[in-house]
Amino acid sequence: MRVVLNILEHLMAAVIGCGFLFALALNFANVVGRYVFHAPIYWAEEAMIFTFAWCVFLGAALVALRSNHLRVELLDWVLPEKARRALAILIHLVTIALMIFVAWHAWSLVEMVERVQQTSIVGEIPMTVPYGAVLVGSTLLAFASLVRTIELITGIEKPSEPGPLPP
Amino acid sequence: MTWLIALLPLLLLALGFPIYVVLLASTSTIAMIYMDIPLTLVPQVMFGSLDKFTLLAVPFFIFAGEIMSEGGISRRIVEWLLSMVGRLRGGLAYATIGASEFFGAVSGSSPATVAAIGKLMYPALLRGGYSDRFSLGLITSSGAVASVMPPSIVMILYGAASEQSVAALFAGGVVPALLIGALTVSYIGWASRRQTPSDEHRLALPLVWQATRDAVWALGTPIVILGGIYLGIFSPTEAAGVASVYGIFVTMAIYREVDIAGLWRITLNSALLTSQILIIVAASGVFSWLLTVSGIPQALVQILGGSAQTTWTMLLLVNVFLLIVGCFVDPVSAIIILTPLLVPLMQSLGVDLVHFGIFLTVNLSIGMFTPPFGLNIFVSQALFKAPLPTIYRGLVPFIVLQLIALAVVTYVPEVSLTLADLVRK
Repeated sequence: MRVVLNILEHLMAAVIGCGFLFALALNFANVVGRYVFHAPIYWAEEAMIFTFAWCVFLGAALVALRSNHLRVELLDWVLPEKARRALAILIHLVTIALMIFVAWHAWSLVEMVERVQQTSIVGEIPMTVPYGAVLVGSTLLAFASLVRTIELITGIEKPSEPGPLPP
Repeated sequence: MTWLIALLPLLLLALGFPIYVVLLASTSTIAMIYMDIPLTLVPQVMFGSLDKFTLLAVPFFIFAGEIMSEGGISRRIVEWLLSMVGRLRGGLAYATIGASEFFGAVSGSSPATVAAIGKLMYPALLRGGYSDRFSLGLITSSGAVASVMPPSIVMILYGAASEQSVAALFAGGVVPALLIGALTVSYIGWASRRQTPSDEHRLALPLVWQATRDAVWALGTPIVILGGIYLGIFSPTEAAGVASVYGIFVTMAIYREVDIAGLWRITLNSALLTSQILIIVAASGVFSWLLTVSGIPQALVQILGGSAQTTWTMLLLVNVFLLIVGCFVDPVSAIIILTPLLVPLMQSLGVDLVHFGIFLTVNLSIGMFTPPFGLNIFVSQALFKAPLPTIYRGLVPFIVLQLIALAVVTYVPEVSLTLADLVRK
């Protein structure tokens, strides 16, 4: 279980990191193209936005696996350990239901744009690409919450890593 | 339905649900009960909220800030400032303020500034004879200026949500950020009037020259970012991307303090930070759509507008409300949730939306270091192993100073708008 999860985490991290660097390079190439060669990359903006959509939704699942999403931590201070754990399980169960709901409708949406062959306006990239990010992301978010629920119930928790600092 | 829209998010928020779940769950529940709409709208609007080129400035500025703090840029800025003011009475404290303003002009993140500058200045301040309480208060509060000084992540999010020019918002933040710095500097001058200056930092021209030469690449960063935007060469997003590439070049090729493994770590870190923020933006699109169709912002305008308040008292009320929100909710979430709610109110009051964006940012940046839950407080606590009560007490004078700055920024629109108007016209 842990091994599979580790491989999945590394895979997601690899996709996110490469996507991030790709968008960074594309942005720079576009700026250089426009000001130096007077030849902007016309599909660059759309490609960057679609790449980041994937980074954001995959990244959100990775953040969820580490329980690092932004939230109001008021009750953590006042509740006893047991109640806190029960509340955390409740939160994860609601998240699972919600993300299955989002994934379900994202699936219909992907099917629909696939049927009508909808593409983006400038670069003519299939719209299944960005909506697919919502589909895969919400599925993985549900999965991440499932993993956390199991960890909370069995008490086998991965030692938490210090998270990055939000702005 | 109106009550459910107001109460459900508050309940979920208080229970500690992740912010993006709060927004999505409340909207989905209400949409399923009361509305007859195709629910494929939910994933569609989620992506639609991210489908804005302006928002791409968020990941790029995060990356630029991360690589510059890890790659020795913040250290060189601190050394450069110390070489000039280190010898003065209160010099170390001045250098902390200056370095925070400078680092804020490179990074848009307030806790990152506390971490980057604090790690360098806290030991120096203690060695220089400042009390633990004063040093912690100074460092914890001084990071807040980073979200007011452009580039600012919070302002990008506000600009995207309110459809205001990010370049104008950035320009509008410069004078308020300097004002906060100037007020703090005057307070330090008064507080350290009886202090013996430290002997650690001699003022000698060759040393200043050497520190300047060493820092010149670091000092160039704000020029690349802001110069590029205001000369009309780049959009804020492109400037952010160029600043990232500049950061990679300076830290990897010139200073050689970041290697390939470091670059990968910084990239992943930035990507995860980006996800934390933009997943909330994605979820908020659905929520603000619900707000709009339910007519709540307009109802709010009517109720508050009908209460016959003057603009002056109304701005006071809004500021007090935001300060309370800021004590519990982080600025990113607060700005994403509250912008669609408050913008119609500001329009009805005739408040310029760039001006609103600026005092909203200044206000929420104060929330970063107000007890009990300001994030910067926990950064200081973790970094310096400091007890919370000491930090809380040290913060008091700085909270007062920044409240004064907030009042000025709120009631004197020219402080924000003079530079912003130059960009808008």
